[in-house]
Amino acid sequence: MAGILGAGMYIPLRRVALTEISKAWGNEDIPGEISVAGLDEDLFTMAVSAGRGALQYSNIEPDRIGIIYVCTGTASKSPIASRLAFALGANSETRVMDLGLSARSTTQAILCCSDVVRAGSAKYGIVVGVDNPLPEPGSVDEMSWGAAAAAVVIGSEGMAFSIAGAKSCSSAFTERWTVPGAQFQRQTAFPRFTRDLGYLHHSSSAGSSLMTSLKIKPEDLSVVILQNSVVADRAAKAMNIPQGKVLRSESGKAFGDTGCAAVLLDLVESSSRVKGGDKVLMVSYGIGGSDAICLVAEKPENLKDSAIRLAKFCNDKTLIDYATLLRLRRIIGPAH
Amino acid sequence: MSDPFVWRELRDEYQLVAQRCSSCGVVIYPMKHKICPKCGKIQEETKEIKLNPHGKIVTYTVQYVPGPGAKEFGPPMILVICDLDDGGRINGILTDCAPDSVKIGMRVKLELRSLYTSNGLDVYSHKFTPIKE
Repeated sequence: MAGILGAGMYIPLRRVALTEISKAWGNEDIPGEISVAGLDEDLFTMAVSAGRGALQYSNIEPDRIGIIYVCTGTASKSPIASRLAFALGANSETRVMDLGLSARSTTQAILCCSDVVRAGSAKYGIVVGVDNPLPEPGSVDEMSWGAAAAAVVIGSEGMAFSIAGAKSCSSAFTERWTVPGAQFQRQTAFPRFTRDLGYLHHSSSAGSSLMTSLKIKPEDLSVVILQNSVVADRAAKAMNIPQGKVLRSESGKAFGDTGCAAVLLDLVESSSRVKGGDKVLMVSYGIGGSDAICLVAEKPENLKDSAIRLAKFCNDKTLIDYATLLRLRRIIGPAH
Repeated sequence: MSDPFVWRELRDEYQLVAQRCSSCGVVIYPMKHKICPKCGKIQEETKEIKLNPHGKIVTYTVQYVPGPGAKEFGPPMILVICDLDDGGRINGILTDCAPDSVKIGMRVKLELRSLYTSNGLDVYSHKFTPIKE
């Protein structure tokens, strides 16, 4: 058996209120905020801070880590996992892997890492989900994408949550893509297409399939974590999950959609709402499909310090204006 | 700053590894000294320690003259000297803080941040960030 021992996270201090963005574009006011990385923060620095936190809260020495996964949907200049291993003080023989291009890569890494631990190839592994997105100004994504990193240590003893089972749903569906030389990602012009054939189909298929294979009913679940989406409620309905069981993530309201970090932040948040033996369904979604993981709470109190830290990140903030947002994302800057 | 220099300092910068003098016990960072800067004792063997990233500001200055990486990171740039909780007095840049908010005695923590870019590649080092109690 393998599971999650502890978790760490890092969220940049700077936040922009969505009303600030909608004001710039003459749109209706929307409540909420998104986190924005500073000029000296990037995928690597955020991953290091989250990884250090995960090791600290799991009480694991870095040289005992056998494998490290770094997952991000944001384009990176160079591999992160090898530099992260070095910065954490891991053994130079530690295996390192970078997974990318989709927000679901975090759950894929959790499943790969737990298989490695179960097989005995590594005693402990770390999975880091980090995103620092660059949405196009004026786009819907600009109002939702935030920057954050979260990390979990996977092992087989002293688990906060054990992994009871998982199912995936993949297809050739591509809602976003990167054009060489283009500054921003492109996406399909039909939101309903993305919503129905993308999010709803993949997440509900993976979740329903898992519940069937594990012979669990929606009422057996204590908390359901769905990847941040405005149609998460519809995905829950498609799986016959009562609305009250779906986590209304505070971190989602405070930081926005943090991509690869989102499900891990939600898992930390859910730890205070469960007791030993409770079941948590975690369903990710990203380009290409969904992964559903059923977690059983073993010692959820092991994530208590991480949950306190997350709440502190929610409250500690510096609000910035829209012009500063554009400068921090290097969309505007000094003439070269 | 040349790339080999960055490579030489990489372990000190990324892992916050320092050296403790075998004679007087002073913390030496970055750990490149063969002779203790305080007592002058020749260090026959290197006694490595992991720095505690928490500390407090002893003194500071705000620099308005553009330095390396100024196009992206400033000015103004807050330069601080801090005492770390488990020993060691080191200098560095204070980030995530407005110049009028910095105070002597303020609690800070070392976090890895981008320092500047060289040939398009980020060069990282630890910077101090304020701790909200």
